[in-house]
Amino acid sequence: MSRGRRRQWLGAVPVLLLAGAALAVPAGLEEMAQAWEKLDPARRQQLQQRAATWERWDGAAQQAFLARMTEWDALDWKEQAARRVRYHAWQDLPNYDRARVRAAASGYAQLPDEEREALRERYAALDESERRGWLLGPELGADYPALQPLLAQVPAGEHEALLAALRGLDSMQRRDLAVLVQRTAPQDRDQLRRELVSTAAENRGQWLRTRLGR
Amino acid sequence: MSPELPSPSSPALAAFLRGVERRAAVLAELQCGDAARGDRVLAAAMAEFHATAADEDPSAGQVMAAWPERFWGVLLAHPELRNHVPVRVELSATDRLATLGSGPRAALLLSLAAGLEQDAAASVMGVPTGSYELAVRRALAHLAGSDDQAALAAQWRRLREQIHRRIKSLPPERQRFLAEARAEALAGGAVESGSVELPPPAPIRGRPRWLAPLLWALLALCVIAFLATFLGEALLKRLAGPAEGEVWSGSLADADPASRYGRSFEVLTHRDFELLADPEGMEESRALGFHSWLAAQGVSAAMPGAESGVTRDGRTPPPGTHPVSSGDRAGEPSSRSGETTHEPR
Repeated sequence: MSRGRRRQWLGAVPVLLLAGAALAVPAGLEEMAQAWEKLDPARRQQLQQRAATWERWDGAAQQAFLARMTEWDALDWKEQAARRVRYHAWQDLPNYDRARVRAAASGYAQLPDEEREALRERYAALDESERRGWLLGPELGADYPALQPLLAQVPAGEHEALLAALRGLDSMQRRDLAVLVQRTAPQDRDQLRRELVSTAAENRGQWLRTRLGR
Repeated sequence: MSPELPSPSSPALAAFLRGVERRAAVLAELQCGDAARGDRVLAAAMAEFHATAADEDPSAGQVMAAWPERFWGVLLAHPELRNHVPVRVELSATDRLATLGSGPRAALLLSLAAGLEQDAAASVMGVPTGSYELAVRRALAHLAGSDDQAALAAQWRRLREQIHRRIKSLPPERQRFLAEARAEALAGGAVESGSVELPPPAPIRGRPRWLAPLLWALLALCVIAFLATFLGEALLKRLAGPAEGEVWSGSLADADPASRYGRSFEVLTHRDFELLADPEGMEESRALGFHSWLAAQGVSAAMPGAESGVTRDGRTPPPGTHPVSSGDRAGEPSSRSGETTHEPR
């Protein structure tokens, strides 16, 4: 290994130190003591939080966790993957959307069987990408097909900001944005997305009107 | 050898770097999930590659033939490409790459983005072609959530299409940045300029010696993780101790239920600890796509309290109206196959 590379690694030292108590191996993870310091700081932090959560639980809560874990491990990959995606999507939903989803779930539960069946069939008939869009919640999900070109190929680090920007728009504005997206050539969509994200929330309406007027 | 001596860059080297640049930018971006970081790493890799290539006798035919493998090896050796930034909601097929380990992700990208043949890609990773092939299959199966041939092929096509689109439509400012970085690399010095922060060029002969063991280790980890999916339950049963009325003669038999050693290791390193620690969230997200769609169709509970919940904080549904009934769960099955193609980790 070259000296240059070693220097690169040394650059990571302050980060490691910043991770603070990171160097202490949490209870329960003694088996990985040897590898502990080599772990990614983010992973270490995650493990520490998990250990703290586990310690906080009483015996019953721990047993309940183990039961869920056994059940989960028995699921096939496909099902695990689908649930994971839905869970993360749920975590990312604003409270307003969550409440609408909850209300829809209870409304649905009160419907007669045949209506439920009909709704299920209609949903099942949607195409996969549309169904994926509904994971963004009732608000964005409705506009997902029209906004899809803007949402494709988004660098991972920009997802959160983009979703926040889209959620900050009202439905009229999102419709305007969809028109704009359709008018924008594929190679210019990155630019459009960047402008959208970098424009301050209160100026986005004006920005949209200007862009549309061009 | 010495990076201080700027060497006249050969036109062949310039052409090679220019030809490989966009593919490399997309590979680096997808490998770490961050375009800016990927571009910085690529700039540094170009400088490193030039520093090593300048050592060689350009008239030897086999030297040029070895460039592609060497170049991808140098690029992938960068530690900054090892970790992928986390992706919360997957917006496109390539986002799912984040759910792979860095070794399998590199295996896929060497073929899809770098456009290497299997043999060459395997050699970049320092593994036999068979192992490489296996790693690619596993990665695809992981992403597709299925290992049937048609699903793998569909997953492959989807990724290839997206990656190629990305290569073709690399934003102009990234192209400018890379062209500048290439020019600097070819000028020989390539230490710093503008916003490009390059680490000191490290003379590397061929693939860095530690790359192969690392990739092997990653591959081994994948295999272990894969096997663990079969062994997990048996192992857990063992760690959980004997069921009531059942007696084991093993060494764990006398462990009292509160004993954490061993079991807690498995718990704390469980991939889905956070999900399993939040049963409420899991329950509520169970038919998320369907319920979102229902909400947009105007299906909503007409019950006292629901309104205020909807308009304000929304985190407190009326008791007894738990959103997901068993009927709902049945409502999602057809969507499952669709959403499933999303992820796996």
